[in-house]
Amino acid sequence: MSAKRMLDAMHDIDDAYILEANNIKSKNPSRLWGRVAAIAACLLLMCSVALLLLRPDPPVTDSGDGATTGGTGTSQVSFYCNGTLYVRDTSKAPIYDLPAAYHYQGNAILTDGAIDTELEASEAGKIYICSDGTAYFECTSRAPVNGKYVLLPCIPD
Amino acid sequence: MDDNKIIELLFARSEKALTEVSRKYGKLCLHVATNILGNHADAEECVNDAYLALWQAIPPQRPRSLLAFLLRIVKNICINRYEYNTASKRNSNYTMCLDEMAYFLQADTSVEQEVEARLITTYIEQFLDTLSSRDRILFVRRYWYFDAFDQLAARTGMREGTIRVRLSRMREKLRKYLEERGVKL
Repeated sequence: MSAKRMLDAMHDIDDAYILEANNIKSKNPSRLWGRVAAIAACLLLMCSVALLLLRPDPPVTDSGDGATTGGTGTSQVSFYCNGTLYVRDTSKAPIYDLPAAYHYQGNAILTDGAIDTELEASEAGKIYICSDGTAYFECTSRAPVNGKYVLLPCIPD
Repeated sequence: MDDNKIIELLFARSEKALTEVSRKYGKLCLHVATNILGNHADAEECVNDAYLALWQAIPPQRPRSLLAFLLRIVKNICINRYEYNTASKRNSNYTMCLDEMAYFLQADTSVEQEVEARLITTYIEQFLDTLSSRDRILFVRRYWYFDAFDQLAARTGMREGTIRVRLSRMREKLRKYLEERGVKL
């Protein structure tokens, strides 16, 4: 078989592979100050997230009309994927590299804390499901660290 | 503008469709064309030819993906131009990709049995499904988009050396994959 025939066969692969390869974001070579600023921003963001997660809920207050309002609690990632609600697994730290066995589910848009998977949506994040049931929400709307987006582990609720 | 709206404009024979195609995908088309031909002037000419071909193809065709459809047209025109120019041009990414593929194939020796082109494509798709997302994108960007190593490095954040090694391993894996399925290389 000739190399040209191989490349010709490659030319006819399904559109999905072509589109997937085109959706990768370009990572421009960054100057040192740019990297430092990005790392500092990510560290600040992670510290903020950690503080939010660790902050105790404010006490429940009685509005006087019989209704009670609870604290706002800690906002956390939650989304539906294939009919299952996933929530942030706070027992696991964020990671930057996906495990070996995972399956890309699609892009996601953030809507009032709930995320619905949609293939053609604007990218606020991406969802990956691993073979052990763990899901990862890739925060593409946040600044990357060393060229990698933070991945938040999530589990079925 | 959404791709479906552009296709509708093409069906309505509105020239605004080509303006929108050029605005949305012109840069990418030129990128792929330059990767194949190695020179900007030829690439621009081929991209313009591709817009005309797109205008003539739609309608009656209604592609599932406008981008993939357009890029295939661009590639076909550019490869034809490349073959026309050929011999003297050995400085394009397409030439280097041919050389890389030829390394693990019996490149110029004729084979007695040829496998159906579509079967090979199917096997390649199945092979791509075995790769991680990152490796699959790397392979497609190199051997479908013909990106240069420095372009791949800029896109993925990986070092050029790492990319070369990864691609070399993937080519070897592909070779074994095809041989296991009876494809004579």
